[in-house]
Amino acid sequence: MIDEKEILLEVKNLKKYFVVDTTFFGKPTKYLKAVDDVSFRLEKGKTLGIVGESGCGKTTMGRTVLRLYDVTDGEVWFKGQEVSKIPEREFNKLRPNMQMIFQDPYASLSPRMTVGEIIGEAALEHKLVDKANYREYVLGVMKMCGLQPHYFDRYPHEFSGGQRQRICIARALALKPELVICDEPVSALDVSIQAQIINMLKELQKQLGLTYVFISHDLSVVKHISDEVGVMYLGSMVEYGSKERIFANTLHPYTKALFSAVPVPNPHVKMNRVILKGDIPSPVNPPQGCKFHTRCEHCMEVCKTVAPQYKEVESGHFCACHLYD
Amino acid sequence: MADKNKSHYITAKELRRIAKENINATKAFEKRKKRKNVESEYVTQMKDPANIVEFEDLHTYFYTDAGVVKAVNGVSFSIPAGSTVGVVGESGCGKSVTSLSLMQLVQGPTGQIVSGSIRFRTKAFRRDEKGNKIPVYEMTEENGELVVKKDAKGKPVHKKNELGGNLYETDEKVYDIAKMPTEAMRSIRGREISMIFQEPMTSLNPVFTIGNQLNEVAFLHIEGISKQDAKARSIEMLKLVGIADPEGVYKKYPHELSGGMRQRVMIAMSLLCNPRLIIADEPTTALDVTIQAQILDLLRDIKGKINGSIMLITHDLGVVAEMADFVVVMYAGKIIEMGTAEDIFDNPLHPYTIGLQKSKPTVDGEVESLYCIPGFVPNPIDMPDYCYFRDRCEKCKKECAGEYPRLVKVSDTHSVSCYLYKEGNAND
Amino acid sequence: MEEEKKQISESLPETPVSQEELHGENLTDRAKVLSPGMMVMKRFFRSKLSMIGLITLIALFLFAFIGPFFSVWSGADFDGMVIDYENAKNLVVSQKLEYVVNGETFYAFSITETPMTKNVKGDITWSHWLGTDEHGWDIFTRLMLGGRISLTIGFVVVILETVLGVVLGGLAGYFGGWVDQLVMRIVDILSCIPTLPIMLILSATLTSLEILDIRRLYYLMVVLTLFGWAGTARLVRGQILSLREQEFMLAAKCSGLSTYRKIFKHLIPNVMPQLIVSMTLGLGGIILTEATLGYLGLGAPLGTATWGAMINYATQEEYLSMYWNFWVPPGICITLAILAFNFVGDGLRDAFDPKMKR
Repeated sequence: MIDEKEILLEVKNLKKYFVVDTTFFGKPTKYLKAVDDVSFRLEKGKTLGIVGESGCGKTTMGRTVLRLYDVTDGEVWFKGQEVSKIPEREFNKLRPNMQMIFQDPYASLSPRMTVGEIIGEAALEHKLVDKANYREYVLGVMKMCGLQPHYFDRYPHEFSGGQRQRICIARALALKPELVICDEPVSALDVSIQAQIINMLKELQKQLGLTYVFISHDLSVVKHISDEVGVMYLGSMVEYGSKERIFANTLHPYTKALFSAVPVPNPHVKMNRVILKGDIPSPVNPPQGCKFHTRCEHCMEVCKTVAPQYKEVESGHFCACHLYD
Repeated sequence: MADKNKSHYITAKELRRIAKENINATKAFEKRKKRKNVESEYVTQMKDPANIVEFEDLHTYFYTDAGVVKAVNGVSFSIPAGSTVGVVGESGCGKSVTSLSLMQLVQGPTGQIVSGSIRFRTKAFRRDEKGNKIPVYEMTEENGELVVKKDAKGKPVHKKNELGGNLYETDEKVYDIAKMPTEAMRSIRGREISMIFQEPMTSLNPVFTIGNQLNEVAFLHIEGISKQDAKARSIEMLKLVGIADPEGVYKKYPHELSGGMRQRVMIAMSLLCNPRLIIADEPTTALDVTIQAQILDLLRDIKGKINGSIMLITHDLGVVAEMADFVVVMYAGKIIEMGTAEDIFDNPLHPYTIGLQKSKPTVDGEVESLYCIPGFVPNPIDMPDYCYFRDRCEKCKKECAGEYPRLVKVSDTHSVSCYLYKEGNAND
Repeated sequence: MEEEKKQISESLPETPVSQEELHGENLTDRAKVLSPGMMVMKRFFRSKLSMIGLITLIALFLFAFIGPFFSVWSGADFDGMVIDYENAKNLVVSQKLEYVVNGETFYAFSITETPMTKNVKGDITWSHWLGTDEHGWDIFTRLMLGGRISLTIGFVVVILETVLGVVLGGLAGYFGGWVDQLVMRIVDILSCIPTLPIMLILSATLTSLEILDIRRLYYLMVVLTLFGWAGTARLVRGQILSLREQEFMLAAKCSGLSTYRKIFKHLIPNVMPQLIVSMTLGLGGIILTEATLGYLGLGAPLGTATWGAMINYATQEEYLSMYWNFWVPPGICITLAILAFNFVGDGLRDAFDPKMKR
């Protein structure tokens, strides 16, 4: 069954370590394990939501998949091709197929280029469009993303956050990508604008058959947009499965705590919260055994010494926790 | 199209006109801030003695190069003693500027409180003819007579207040902060109103220890407090905000603490002088959800322990629903709806409030497509006189072309500014 | 009519009316914004000092580049010699006689008074606003011509420096690794070489090679450039290192843009403001260096007026004490120029930096 559907992106045991300390001669002695052994596969046209708190490595994972950072170890398969080890020059030719939308719409637009240049530049460079049809092409993409044609010659500083994020989306879509990694695309925006952007992303997915990896710390947004959900904690995937399964039958204690921490806009709901104690440990010195055991309310003796296996608990529902051994 | 582009930018002529107007306007305001000894001009009375703060028709403008930005444009609401008031709105709606006006921290000469009043109930120091504070001394009985107790050097001994500082004679007074000169404001700022900022990373000074910074606040606002008392008070406050190892944190530098811990330290700092009002400006926006849950829990807990009010500024409706007793919804510098939390969340009236609540996806609900408010938050320069929400509103009527709708009371606690509703009629 | 309208609106209160029916305009587009150029201008002109600086600069430029056209006098012998004969008084011509006695050489001078041919070391008069120098040249005219050369040297050197600094600093910052190491070590070495002794040696070499004409100035410019680019390179490298981590650079990488485009279309335009500021501030520095060299008698060839060369008079006791009109005016000009460049540079820095709010 699964084989019939086209797998667009598959990540196997992806690792990204940053060197934080070296000896005098440059030999690394201490690593920050930002992404530590993450695997998932994503079908064409689907959306994978990645949830986690700051410092859990979700952004690094997205950037490593696109080789904005070098891969430390592991494999990335894109359309049946291993892409993590091919030379940069060859990968550059694949880049238009895999695009990214960044979190901060203020930092991700070069302040000294006009909107038209920002959107059309790369399409021109990759010869997706020739100089003669350039303007029409860019205006077409802008229209698709809800930008008015007279914005073409304006500079980014003249726009509000929501419009800037639309420009970012237009820039990504101008390259006709198949995979778009959205790194917290709405968390810097106002609530009323968030809904617009999310609806637009969904609409565009339907129109263009896009595949999304949607990275966010906001559970409600991830739930709304995703087909599959992965929960990350300190560089590792702790729970992964289809949206229905994860939300109906939450397994990992961290996911449970994350769900209950979301404030609900209803003054009558008396919260019966699982409030996690303490802070997220530093990823440079992650705890021994299960990384979550320092904050877990179900912590057992075994958790402190043995790291739990990431395994399939139900069909299509993965979890890394000793409670389900 | 070319025509549209042309009109999009300000011309040099307009720019000169704006600059000239701005200079003329701000000069007078700056002068007003520098007045001296004019207490009688800003002493007023509260409309309702149960309130500690009353905003009335507050206008705070920014005289920018592109024109006058009416950041707060006729805002009136009050904060009752011992309650939490949540101010909600999107970025640029004027919610932060409202709180900065209350602290007189609007950056001049660009930003100015133009008109209106902010009445604040304060424990004002009684002054003698020279304008000095009148101290209260420790008394002893000597030869059957009450005399001022003197220390070894012959100086009179101050009576101590509950914080360990010198006691002075005070009066319960109501000041109009909008009319106060900067100098007089200093004794209120930090002592009776304190503020928690959004960014715990930048609001602590990285080169001093936590203890150092807490003590500094104590020395600044609690006159005559001894070193030991200040340290004891700082550690007590750190304990109050749920820090497990207060002595340890007291000696640490800000970079050694996590974001959540730093926000706790900020809260401890704001509680140091027993303020009557704590302004929390997006206190959890920079934090993770699990840490946010901890901090909100802490704030709720603390409100029970201290005898004060909280003015909570946030864009997150969920946070407001959990924390606030009263909610004020702002849009483009004006209040569009206010009421108790139940009023706002059970029976929202203004199309904007309704839209905001519908546009947030929920963890339990499931919808195919989110409701969304079309359009963008307007740039608050040179606003016309009709409902600012009009061109994003789906319930827009013919009447909406008219002047800006007044705030109508639909019930005792609930008011809304929209032509859809009439006085005393919430179900219209 | 009025009543009718009211009735209609009351009878249909709940019908939503579309935006177009009400008004054509949109609130979002209603407010006008400042164009980027206007914003910089506005912030620049807000500061009075930068205004003063700019006006001084314009005045100096007019003085140096347009002024000489209105002067009737020549600034030096070789350009169409116009010398003031009318005001001539006396000229002391010395004749040198040489005797050799017992292998030792003695000199004797015969002094004759002849009718005057040139107005040498003339006083300040209506026709010579600052008098004349020891060759009979009008000092005011020389001041203008000197400004021309000093300012030109400044501009040429700054532009060369910036080009060299941007290319090398840009390469170092963008590629990092061994390129960065190489360039930055060269910069380190350059910044620990003392400039002045090198200049002295160079000047001596040039003199001994009998290069005494205008070519000396070209060599001067080349050497100043070689020693000056290091600062610019360091600035550009630092800026690029921080810009490289910005999300818009990640986005550019993500789009698979070529390295050339990434550097010249994305990075350099964002370094431009800082570059312009450092160029403006650097101009003052170069004029000062030129003046220092001129004071020490290096740099400009004999007879060519530069502000620095004119200050050189102050090294001689006679001129220092008695002819202040020889060396004070160029001194004032140099001070004015440097102050003005620094004021304008500071103003530009404030204007370009959007975080600076005042």
